[in-house]
Amino acid sequence: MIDIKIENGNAKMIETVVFKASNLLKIQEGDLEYHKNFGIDLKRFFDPDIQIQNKTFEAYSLQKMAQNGINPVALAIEKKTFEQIFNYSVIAAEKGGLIK
Amino acid sequence: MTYTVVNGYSPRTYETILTECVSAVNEQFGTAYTNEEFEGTNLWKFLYATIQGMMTIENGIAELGAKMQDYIRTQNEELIIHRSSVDGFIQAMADELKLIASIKPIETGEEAGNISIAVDIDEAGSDYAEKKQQIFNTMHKYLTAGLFYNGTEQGTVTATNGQQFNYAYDLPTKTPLKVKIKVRVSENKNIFVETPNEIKEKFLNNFEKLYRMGFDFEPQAFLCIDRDLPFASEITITYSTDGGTEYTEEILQGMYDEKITINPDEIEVEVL
Repeated sequence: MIDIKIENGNAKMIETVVFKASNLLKIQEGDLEYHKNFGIDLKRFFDPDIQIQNKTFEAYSLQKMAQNGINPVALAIEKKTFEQIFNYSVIAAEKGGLIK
Repeated sequence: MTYTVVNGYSPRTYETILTECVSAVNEQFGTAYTNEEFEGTNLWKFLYATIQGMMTIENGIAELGAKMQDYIRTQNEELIIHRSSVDGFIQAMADELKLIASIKPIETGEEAGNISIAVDIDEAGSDYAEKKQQIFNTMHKYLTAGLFYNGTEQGTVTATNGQQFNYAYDLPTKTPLKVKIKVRVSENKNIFVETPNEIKEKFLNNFEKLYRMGFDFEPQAFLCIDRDLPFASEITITYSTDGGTEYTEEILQGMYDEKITINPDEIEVEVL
């Protein structure tokens, strides 16, 4: 997946699906006026009134990536005292040989 | 943007513009992305904001196109129905002064060159003198030269070369009516029966909406079973022009300057 990246103030074209995955995980679902289905439901997971297990978020994020043509190949979870860091390794989904 | 006679200029949708952008990217970089694949990338983020800007501009152009069409239509109407014609002058009085006017039809050769205009205006209003001059100015602006103006309300307007022209119009001749409304309740319907006062109010509202100076008075038009009184099986409206001696349900032919007036206290309602 060709994409644009700003490096030292210059726009550079690179081949990566990382930005697509990053944008998907950062955008609140429903916020984009013309593309309401894009993004994940961040508000639900960060709602202080509801506690959801980290495992649930893990499964949800992987499912959303797959739905958007991103293939997560590895997920490393780094546990700290008050937080968990999810490190996703992704590749673009293959187009050929798919069952319709 | 596309143009059709019915819808005018239509702005493109987000999907249409995005498809064009993705096609441009594919052509530029030799790729074959679909919209779904492309959505979410940094390049898409940049284009999303650009598409929003384009849509705002296209909406503005479409709005401008609609306003232009409206302007052209209005201009065409003014050219087709010019203000010196009977319909055009009546419309000009309504548009510019918000007044109802009517013109006496010419029926004999001797009347040629004479014009009689009636204007429905409250002569007791505090701004009547000002309104009266506005009426004369409107007549001067739109009506042709060589006419003799009949009427009790008279005044002058100075033309651009300093000449004085006389203008006149009539106030409405008021015809007060007494009205009797008979409503027979249907035995086949189980609907709430309204009170005589409510029936009277509906009659007066419809009279206010449907009647204007110069119209014939068609009594049965002001209350209908389907529209106003669904509980009724029969409605009969009669009126009297002689203070209540004789009542009739015939249509009253209105003169061009005749204005029917109905005092709410002069309406009798009977529910049978």
